[in-house]
Amino acid sequence: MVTMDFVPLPVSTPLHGFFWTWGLPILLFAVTAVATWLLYRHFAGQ
Amino acid sequence: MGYFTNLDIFWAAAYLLLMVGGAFFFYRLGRRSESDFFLAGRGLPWWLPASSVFSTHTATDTPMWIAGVIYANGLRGLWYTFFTAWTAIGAFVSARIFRRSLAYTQAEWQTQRFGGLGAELLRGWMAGWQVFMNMFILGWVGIAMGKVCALAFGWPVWVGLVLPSVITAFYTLAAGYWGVVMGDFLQGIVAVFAIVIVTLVGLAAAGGPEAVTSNITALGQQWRLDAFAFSGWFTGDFPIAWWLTMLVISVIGGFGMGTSLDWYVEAQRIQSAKSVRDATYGLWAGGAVTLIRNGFWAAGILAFFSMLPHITDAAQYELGWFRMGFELLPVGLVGVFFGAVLAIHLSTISSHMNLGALYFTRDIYQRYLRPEATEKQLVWVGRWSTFALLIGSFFYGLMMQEITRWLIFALWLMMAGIWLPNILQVVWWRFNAWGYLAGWMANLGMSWLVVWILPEFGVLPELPDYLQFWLLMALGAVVFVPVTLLTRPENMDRLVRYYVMTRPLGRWGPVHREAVRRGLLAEAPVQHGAMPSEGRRPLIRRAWTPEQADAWTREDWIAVVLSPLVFAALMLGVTKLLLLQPGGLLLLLGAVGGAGVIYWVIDPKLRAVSIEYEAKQAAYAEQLEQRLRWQEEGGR
Repeated sequence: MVTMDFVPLPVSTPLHGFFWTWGLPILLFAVTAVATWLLYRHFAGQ
Repeated sequence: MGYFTNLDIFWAAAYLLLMVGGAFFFYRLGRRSESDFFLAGRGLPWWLPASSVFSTHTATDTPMWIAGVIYANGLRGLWYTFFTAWTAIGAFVSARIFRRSLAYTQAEWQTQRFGGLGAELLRGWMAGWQVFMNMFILGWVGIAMGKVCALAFGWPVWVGLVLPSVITAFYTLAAGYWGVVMGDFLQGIVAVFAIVIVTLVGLAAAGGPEAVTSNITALGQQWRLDAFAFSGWFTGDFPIAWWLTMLVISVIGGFGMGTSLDWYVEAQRIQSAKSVRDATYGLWAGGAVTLIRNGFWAAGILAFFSMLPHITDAAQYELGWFRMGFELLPVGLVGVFFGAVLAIHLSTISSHMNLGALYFTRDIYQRYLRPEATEKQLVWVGRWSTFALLIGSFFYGLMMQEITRWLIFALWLMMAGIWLPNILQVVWWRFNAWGYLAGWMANLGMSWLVVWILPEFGVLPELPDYLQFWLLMALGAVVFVPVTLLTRPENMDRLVRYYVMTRPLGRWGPVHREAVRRGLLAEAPVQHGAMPSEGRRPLIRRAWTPEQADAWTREDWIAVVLSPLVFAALMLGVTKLLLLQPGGLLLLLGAVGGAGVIYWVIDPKLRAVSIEYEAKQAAYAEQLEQRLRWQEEGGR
């Protein structure tokens, strides 16, 4: 009952800097959290 | 574990907590009643069922098999994913009919359309089959997740099978379908983000879209960039005959119920919408977003191919999308990517847990064991059956490798022979329970013979899959058509009740005339033309009376014809635009314009149908519950 010898991709990440490491994850987290709150507020109250 | 830093683990955990916690908080709504635990009280606006259709059908094994078909077949592989297009016509035909039936499940619908012993046999068989089917799917996608966790963390496969399922059971048990559908929406946001960013980063890392296409051309394999690179009418690995058969199965399948295995899952989403209009748009948008997703994946996998074109081991190139996510994203986003992989997995297994529990609770426990059960008891039966499904899926998952071959056959391939009966039951009044049962039974036997036994003994050559489909369809019809015509039609009281409630499309003339004779309907059948009593009809009607909106008219047919074209243009347009191929933008604009025309033509009618039906829904729902408890009024 999957470990393989991969040929690694010939390139590494083209994205560098604070925005990609912290900014974008925080932004997406905030959007998802606000969506959760709006859904709950709208529906929780045949 | 080489891909992860502490920051990545932080982000993955944060997203997991948000997606599970957000869904769990709907437990106050899920525990109120059976209707809440399984259908969110039939109260959802179209975009929630739509996101659930998309999220449920984006599983951990989906990017594996799509990466597999694109890596092996180039853009032709997109057509292997086009079976989703049954939703193009299904949204405007079968979704409307099913939503009006108010059936919780396809098994329940069988006992509305058919009656007597035959219908109960169908309901019991279908409920049992779906309980096991959902358990099997849970095991299947669980093993796929186990392999992803083995790739990412080096864990044993069983850990990735068991751990996420237990986390999902936490909110699915508590909140039922309310938790499933809200979780699907939140998980859909994160999944869409990951699918878009991995494709864009993959294309950038490969040197940009032009570099991808020129690399593939330099390999002498520009056929990979053409979705229409056929190998001949009947010969080669991509014959036109296969493509046409695929289009028939998927597109025409939208006129039936059960023509795709996804139908059983989508039926729950259709029924959870707050109106007929929301059910239609929910299924349509879910299908459209799924095909756009396929376009993004296809462009991303071609980028992967252009970087590593010589992988021959399918198990390796199937992980192409996961590898781009883990290897090409920066620290931080790798954690979000794994959060998205978890989102994709959770949204699929939560839906199948709740659906399997629905078939057990509604169609087995409530129908045959305790018809008088209270709402509170039914919610608890729903929770216990969710738990039983979870445990059963672990056993399925762990013995999956030994049993995969025949189970795939038994559960998937045998769908071919009942494709036609699944359409006939919707569109032909004379088709009866015994005909449909005969179709199922004939198919069980015929598919074993055609696919395995006769080729084994050399009686029949091993046919390509598209020929197997047509042969199984013809052999099935030889059985179920005579059985239908030699047994009595369904009871007319039942047919009239079903017809007035759902207003199905197709050949229902005798039932319609009987309904008019009984004073239940006002007018003569209107299939395509004008009302007999009025003057010239506008080319596209914008104002509808309830009677006009209930009939099938040219506005419906405009939507039915345009919708599959829009779906194909969406999928191909997105792919071509991402690869900066000529015609991509034009196709995409055509798809958006076509969708706008469909909306303009059909929306006034759907609003009229919804308003008119909503006035009757409460009374219909009450009758449905009485019939479920065997308190029949008239009919047999």
